[in-house]
Amino acid sequence: MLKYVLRRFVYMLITLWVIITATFFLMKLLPGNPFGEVAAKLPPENLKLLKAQYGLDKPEWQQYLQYLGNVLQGDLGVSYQFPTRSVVSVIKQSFPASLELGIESLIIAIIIGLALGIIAALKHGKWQDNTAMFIALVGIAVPSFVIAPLFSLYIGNKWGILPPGLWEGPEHRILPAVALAFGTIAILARMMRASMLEVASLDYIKTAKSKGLSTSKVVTGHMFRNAILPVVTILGPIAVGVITGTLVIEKVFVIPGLGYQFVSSITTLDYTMITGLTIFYAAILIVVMFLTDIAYGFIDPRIRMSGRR
Amino acid sequence: MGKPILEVNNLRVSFKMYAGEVQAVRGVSFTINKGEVLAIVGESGCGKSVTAQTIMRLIPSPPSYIKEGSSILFDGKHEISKMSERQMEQVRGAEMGMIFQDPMTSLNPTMTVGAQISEGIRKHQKLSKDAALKRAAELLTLVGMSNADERIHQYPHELSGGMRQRVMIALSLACNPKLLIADEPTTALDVTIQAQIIDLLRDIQQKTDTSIILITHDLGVVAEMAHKIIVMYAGKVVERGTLNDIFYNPRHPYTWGLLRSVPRLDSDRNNDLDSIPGTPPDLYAPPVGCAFAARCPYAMQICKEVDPEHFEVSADHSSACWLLHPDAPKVDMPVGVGRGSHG
Repeated sequence: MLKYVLRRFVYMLITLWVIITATFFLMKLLPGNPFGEVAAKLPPENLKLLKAQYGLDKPEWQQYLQYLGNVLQGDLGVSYQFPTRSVVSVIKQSFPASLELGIESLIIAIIIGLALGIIAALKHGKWQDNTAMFIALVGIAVPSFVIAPLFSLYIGNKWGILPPGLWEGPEHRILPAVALAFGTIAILARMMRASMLEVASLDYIKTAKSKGLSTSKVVTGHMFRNAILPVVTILGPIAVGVITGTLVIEKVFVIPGLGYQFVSSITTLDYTMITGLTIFYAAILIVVMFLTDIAYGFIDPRIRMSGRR
Repeated sequence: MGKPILEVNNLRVSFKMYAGEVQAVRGVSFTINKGEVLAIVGESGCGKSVTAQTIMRLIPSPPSYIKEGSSILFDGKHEISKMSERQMEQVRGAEMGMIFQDPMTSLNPTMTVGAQISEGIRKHQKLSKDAALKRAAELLTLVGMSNADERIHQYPHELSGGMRQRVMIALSLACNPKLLIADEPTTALDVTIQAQIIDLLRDIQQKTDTSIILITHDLGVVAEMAHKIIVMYAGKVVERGTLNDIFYNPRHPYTWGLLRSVPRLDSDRNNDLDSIPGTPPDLYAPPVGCAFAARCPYAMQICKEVDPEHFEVSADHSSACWLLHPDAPKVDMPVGVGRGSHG
């Protein structure tokens, strides 16, 4: 198991390095100027000074090595747009809200999504199945920019049950977390249902039944663990998408999260910010995938063992 | 031989499908006594597996259902066809065990072998986890696996096919069932492993005096183990008898065909292997007369119109064929049958 984890870890570092390199050079390929319209108005000597300040006067391979060195030390550079703020400080400031919202919504989505999927599979073809799949269909079909404003308007504003926005006490968490969870619930429920149905038809479920186990024992002891495998696989990328913040939900509920920062950095062509945030997102994705792989190993002994070879 | 352990009477099982009703089992009756090995033989799709799994009620319902008038009396007191799911849980594993065809897929890949064997023991014998695991190790030793104490911590993918089938046998024997149903236990195994597994089953059967229903299309396996044989075709029993009756004095043309289609070492290699021409009938709409008539070289007019009842040959031996009617023309057994021919 340790060898399996170590190998995954090395792969993770290599992937991260490739992403840093690719992002860095892709940014260099972008047309335009990091200083925007200001650059045209500046005298050439000032522009030269400015470039020197950001290290842009050196050859690109030197810039790359220096950037790589900085990243290794945890320095993602200074924002071009707000020279007083480093990218790391922006992340530190905005990420916690996105992370918290993401985790809360993920927990809601996993519990409800898996439960719906399991119920639907066990009552295959009956009304419970149809109801669960209808909820899942709504979850996929209705985008968050419809659900979020409706939640905020009705539950928050008109009925006054929960606060319609802002990010303060626990009561402010519920609406955005549920709104964000909707789509994930739908995906998880459908995946879990399909997976459970597939496992239910396998021979070892008949073996389990032939031992005289009750249906609930067969489901919890034999079906769940095998059925959850494909769901765990997609859970990784889904988790990252949810954790790193979504612009729509953050905008509607006025949450100071990272999703907003990312979008605004693109509209203002803040190059260090875009590169830095991309690397940060990628790093989170890779770490989550790494954790997914490890979880996989825990669930499925066949994967654990193959790492040993 | 002791008292009857299982009496199946006029068992009819159908599957309600979108396209209509598939009559998989159409009136099967047999009895198996304590300590007896009954073999059910027949080609794929003849209803032998459905019969076996219905005895343990392992086929999901819907789409399958046991029709009115069927009776499966187990141990003289349990009417299987009328029992609730909860009551069945007490019978399955404890009084009846089942061995499936493919050991590669019939064990849970995410559970250790020991956990899978001890699960049933813990449920039925109320043993502690450790005691059940200990019993699991004993069972593994019983089925001929060395290092049982280590084996119980292994996962199925770490074992070979033959080993897994041994685990499957240990699992089915865990609570000393009165009846063991082996659904093609050797079909998915290598020939050398097949022999080992059959030896093991026979050995265990003699030691524990368990009754076994052996489902197979391998007549070699039947000859090794069975006391009684029923031959099934298109959801019905076409011939029943003792091992000697079926191998040395078969009376149904379908049984003849089965016996002839076993490859023989002394046959001419340049000749094609014998086979039964044609395919089994569509069980959505079974024929009115004898289901085998369309493939039978001896079919008469009556065969296509009226389904024959069983004619008794001797006390244990009967066959559902019009050729046994006193007025029927005398037909001799074809060459290659009736000499105890098995591979």
